Amino acid sequence: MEEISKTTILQPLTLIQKSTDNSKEPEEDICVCLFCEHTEKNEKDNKKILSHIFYAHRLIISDAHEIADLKEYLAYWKEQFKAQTIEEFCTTMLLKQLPDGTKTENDEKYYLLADIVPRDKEIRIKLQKKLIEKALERHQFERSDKNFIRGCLFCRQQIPTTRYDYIEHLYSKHFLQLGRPENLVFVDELIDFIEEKLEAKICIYCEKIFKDRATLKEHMRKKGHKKINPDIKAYDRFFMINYKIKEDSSAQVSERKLPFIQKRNSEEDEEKVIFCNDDQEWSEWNEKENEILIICLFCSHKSENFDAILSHMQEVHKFNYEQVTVNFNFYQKVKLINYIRRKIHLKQCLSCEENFENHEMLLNHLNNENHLVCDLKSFDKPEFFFPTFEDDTFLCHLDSFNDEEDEMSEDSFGPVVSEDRNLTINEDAEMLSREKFIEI
Amino acid sequence: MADTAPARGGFKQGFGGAAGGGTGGGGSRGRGRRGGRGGRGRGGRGRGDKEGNQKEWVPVTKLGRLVRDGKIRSLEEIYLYSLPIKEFEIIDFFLGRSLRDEVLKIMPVQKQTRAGQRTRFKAFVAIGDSNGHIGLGVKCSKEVATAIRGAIILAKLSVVPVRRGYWGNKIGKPHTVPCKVTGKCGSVQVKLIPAPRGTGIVSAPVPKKLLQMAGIEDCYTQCRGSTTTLGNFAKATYSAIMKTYAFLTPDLWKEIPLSKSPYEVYADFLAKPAGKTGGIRNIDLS
Repeated sequence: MEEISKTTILQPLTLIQKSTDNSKEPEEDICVCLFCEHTEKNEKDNKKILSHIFYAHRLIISDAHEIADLKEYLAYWKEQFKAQTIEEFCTTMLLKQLPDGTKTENDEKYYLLADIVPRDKEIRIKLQKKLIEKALERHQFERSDKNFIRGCLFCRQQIPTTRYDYIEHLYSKHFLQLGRPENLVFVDELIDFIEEKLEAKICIYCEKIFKDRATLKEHMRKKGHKKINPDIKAYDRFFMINYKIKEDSSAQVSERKLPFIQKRNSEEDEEKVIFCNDDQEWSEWNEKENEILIICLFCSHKSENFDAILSHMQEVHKFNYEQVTVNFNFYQKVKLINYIRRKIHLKQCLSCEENFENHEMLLNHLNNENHLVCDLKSFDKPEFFFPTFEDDTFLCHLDSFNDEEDEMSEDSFGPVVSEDRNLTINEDAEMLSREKFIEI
Repeated sequence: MADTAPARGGFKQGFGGAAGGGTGGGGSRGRGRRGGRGGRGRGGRGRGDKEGNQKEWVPVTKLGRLVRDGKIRSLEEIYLYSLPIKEFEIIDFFLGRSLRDEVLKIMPVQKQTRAGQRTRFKAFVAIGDSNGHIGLGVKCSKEVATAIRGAIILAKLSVVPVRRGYWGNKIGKPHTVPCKVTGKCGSVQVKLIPAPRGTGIVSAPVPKKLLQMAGIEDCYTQCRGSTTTLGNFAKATYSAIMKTYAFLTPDLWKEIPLSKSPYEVYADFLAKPAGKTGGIRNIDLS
């Protein structure tokens, strides 16, 4: 145990262990009916569950194919219907027939759930937003992941690269137009999808079946079918542009009149450089969820607010940070923090070099013996310039922003020097070009 | 064999045209159906993009013309005279290979219109060569690819030089900021403080990325304000880094004689109309 108190070189430490849970639990892909316990698998067009709801409970959901996540939608409304009756939210229709088509004498009640009801609109928009977030997350991952190994569809080369390079390769070497890589998401599945089609000898554009691979290739080349057909809905989910939150259907009527050419120009205009450096532009990027947490020096109490941490340390550990560091300059404060972090990590007392078995005993000792004082000599060493923990956010809140002028002289341990200036023009070069210039 | 250029468009023009035509048909049909739109997204290469990278740069500004003809030796000359840079190709010309861009975030933003909500994608891009230059750009657009490209262009236009210095001993290359500098954007203030060699960058993830791309190896940072607004946080860090060259330290006190700006020096060259090759040479006919 004695060796530990001497120079222990610690491995790189991090305070906050990020739980990167890439292996998500396989989601149970089942939709539960709104009213009963009937379940169906969550499929692409959800015909089965919708038809069950219609036949068994006489409820029609308008624009069901546009709902981002039917499973969540049904779960939400299940909750809502528990509290209130159906008539509160759905419009009732009276038809003179049973669900399977047979005519009846009396009026049968049917219910329609549409987004005229504000709550319905809300939940639909919320689900769409969630979907777009998920897609963007995946898009971010695909953008940076360099370990995408996949044999090329045509030339069977295998290079570990990013997905973008793969798509660029398909475009430049094999003329297969999938679209700009930045616009695509779920690229793995897209490639799988296309591979399936090619294996089954179906053209990806016109979906005709061919006898063998060679004829298929010839057909796709001749007709220029080496691209994705915008009309086929199955490809919609691979393009980021389709994750936008749907506008009202009433917008369609006015948009139809615009000629195509005009739209194309407007896209080109957007590409021209427009100087917009508004502050408002930058303020939109808000991440309230991932707040940076500051961790107490002595225990594992966390907070986003620095003052809250200081008052916590004052109350619980009887450590008045302000008082202790009243005459310290910035660098001494940094060293103090690193010193305390190191000692606590090694479970050593700050003043008396005693080692402890666990954390609680150390804290008790510090409290009882009042050893929560630090001698300037013990930590004013260059080794404590380096942060003990790599992501110690406590260090980012030490300095006040007011006194800038007087800090310059005190802090520097020797003059802080700039690099040699490269700002002068090379006079010889200037003379040379001038000479040449005058001659002309 | 099947992978050679499509028969219908033997030359590149044709291929672009065919694809454009194909998209045109699909796109206009898609216009009516808001839901299934993807026409433009899919045929997005319809402008013969393959040789887009090698497209000849025809400068439209005076500075662009000077740069293209090699009259300006380095980016630092432009900074010396504080000439505004309006063409991103100028930056590409000097820093081209070494610039690395990084997309910090893509987020969907919505605007309330009469017909519901309009969603667009906003891309935040930082660019730097890890050796003294840093830029930041933000662009909003209907498609992700357009937003990223626009943001990269804006980031290149905002490239500024970064001044680095030593802490203590003047050994080796400069590695930290030369003095304490503060930057502010919105409510966020970021202060950069010199650190000894080997400290690394002590900060939150967003400024850390920027400082690494700028080429600063060691630095302490202090932040204040609502740092959850990462856009302002990044802008404040950029503003602080920019100030390193704005700070007058004693070693800059020496007076340099005032020299003529490139516009004056090359005024005759600029007065000539720009030909395709970028300059008409007078041939001596005598």
